[in-house]
Amino acid sequence: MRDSKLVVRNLSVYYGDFQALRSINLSIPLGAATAVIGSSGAGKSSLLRALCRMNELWDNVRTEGQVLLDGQEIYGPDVDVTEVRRRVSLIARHPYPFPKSIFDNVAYGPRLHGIKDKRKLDEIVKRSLKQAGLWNEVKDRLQESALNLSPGEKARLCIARSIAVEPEVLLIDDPTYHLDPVSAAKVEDVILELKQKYTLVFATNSMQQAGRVSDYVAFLSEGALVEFGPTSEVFARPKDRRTEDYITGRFS
Amino acid sequence: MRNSIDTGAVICSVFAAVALFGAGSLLALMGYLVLKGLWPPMRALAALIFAHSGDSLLSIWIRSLFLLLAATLLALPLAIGTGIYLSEYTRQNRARELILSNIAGLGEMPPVVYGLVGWGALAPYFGEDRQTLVIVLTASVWLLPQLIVAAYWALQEIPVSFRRDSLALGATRWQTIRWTLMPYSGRLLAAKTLEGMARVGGEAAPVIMVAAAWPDSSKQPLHILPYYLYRSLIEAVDPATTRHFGAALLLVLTSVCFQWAALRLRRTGVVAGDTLPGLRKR
Repeated sequence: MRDSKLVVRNLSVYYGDFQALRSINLSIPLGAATAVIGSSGAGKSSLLRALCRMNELWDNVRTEGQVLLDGQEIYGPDVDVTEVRRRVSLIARHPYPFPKSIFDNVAYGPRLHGIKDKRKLDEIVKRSLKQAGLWNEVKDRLQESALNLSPGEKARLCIARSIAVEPEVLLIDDPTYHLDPVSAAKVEDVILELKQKYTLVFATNSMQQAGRVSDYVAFLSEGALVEFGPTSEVFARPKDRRTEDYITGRFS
Repeated sequence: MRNSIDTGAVICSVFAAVALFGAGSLLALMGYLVLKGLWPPMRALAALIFAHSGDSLLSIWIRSLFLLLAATLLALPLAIGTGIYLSEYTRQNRARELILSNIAGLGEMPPVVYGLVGWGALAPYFGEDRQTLVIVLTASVWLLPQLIVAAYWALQEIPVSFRRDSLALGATRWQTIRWTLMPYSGRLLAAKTLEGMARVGGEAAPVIMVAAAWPDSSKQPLHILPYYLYRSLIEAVDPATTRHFGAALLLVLTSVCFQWAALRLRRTGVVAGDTLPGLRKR
């Protein structure tokens, strides 16, 4: 087993009276892709948001337990939440570019963090777009509005926008949500590339995608972690009956 | 069978007639004012408008615009700050709804209520020598709740995904407001501000009430367009004069210009044609 980048201890998340996550314990391996699977409402998005403190944007949310990033508690009293979100960057489901140019979208994060030098920004934008597999498609129209891109290009632009802040962990909530198969395949290729460089956690409803892309898989059911392990093992020999039912599609 | 088609056509033509009547009545009103006010003694009116004396229509109009602008500039920063606070820094709960509905209610109060504020609180405090200030303050007290609500809704119109994605990149809340929310709410806020200005600038009631504080005053600052129109009607020194029609026309034209500009701004808003169902702020 690899070293852990993120360690989750007894993590529970409540929205008002509703408990979305039930005492999750999980170690996200460093430099690997972890897929979070489970039916709708199982808590996949809540888990991803809790890993970067984005759940705090909801008014009535309550989080209990610990999340350690490189051994440091991210919910601690003296922690700079913006720094946590820069290091652990979340790409939400249905990400949407800002109504700015393609260049300004990617440069948004670096500018936030104080980079003003034009040459440096050019370099970051180019590198991020290349890593997101979008450079060749947009290099001649960087100043055009990002809203004119196709849905698949928008999805990759949002990946580029996140990479530009040089995070250590990338959280992607359903990366191919509402994409056609061709666009989805391109996004998957990008994720396969990215996992060489980042610790990656993505939520997905597609078992095939989890099988193709992830090294580890975590199965959530009704807010609880049912099973976690290397993808090949969990898919070949699930230990829990619920996992087996889910991945073989026996759930109604 | 033909019957149903005919019914639809009849209903459509009724609505079309209403729409045409709505659009046409403004033109008819302006036409009437032009005929009454401008056509017969065109030269006399032009002379009135461009006269060099203190109360030519032109000078009254310019003074009205300036006072309105001053009132807006006074109210706007406070309104934007309060709007940002309510939209971005308070939780969505009963207290916020209560505060918002109270502010919205204040903005919708009959203008005479604000006249009462000017007459009862501001005029005695500042005195006769500061009539201009009293007029400006009265207008800005009236504008303030309207602009707070405008600023609040201009921010709420922005899809929640903008806030979410900006914060996810490590932005602070203020950076998100400054870099993402304010640029995209600007147009809508400007549009709503212009609408508020048209409303406040065209209203005579508060000025009439303030004027009641100094019944014998001979000073000019009270002479802003709607009040001037009212005075020229009740004084009716020379019934044949075309001044009030000229003043009314100027008032209608100014109001139409403001509304037209507001409509243009609204139409090119950032969210127009780019709506995100289900991604409004919760």
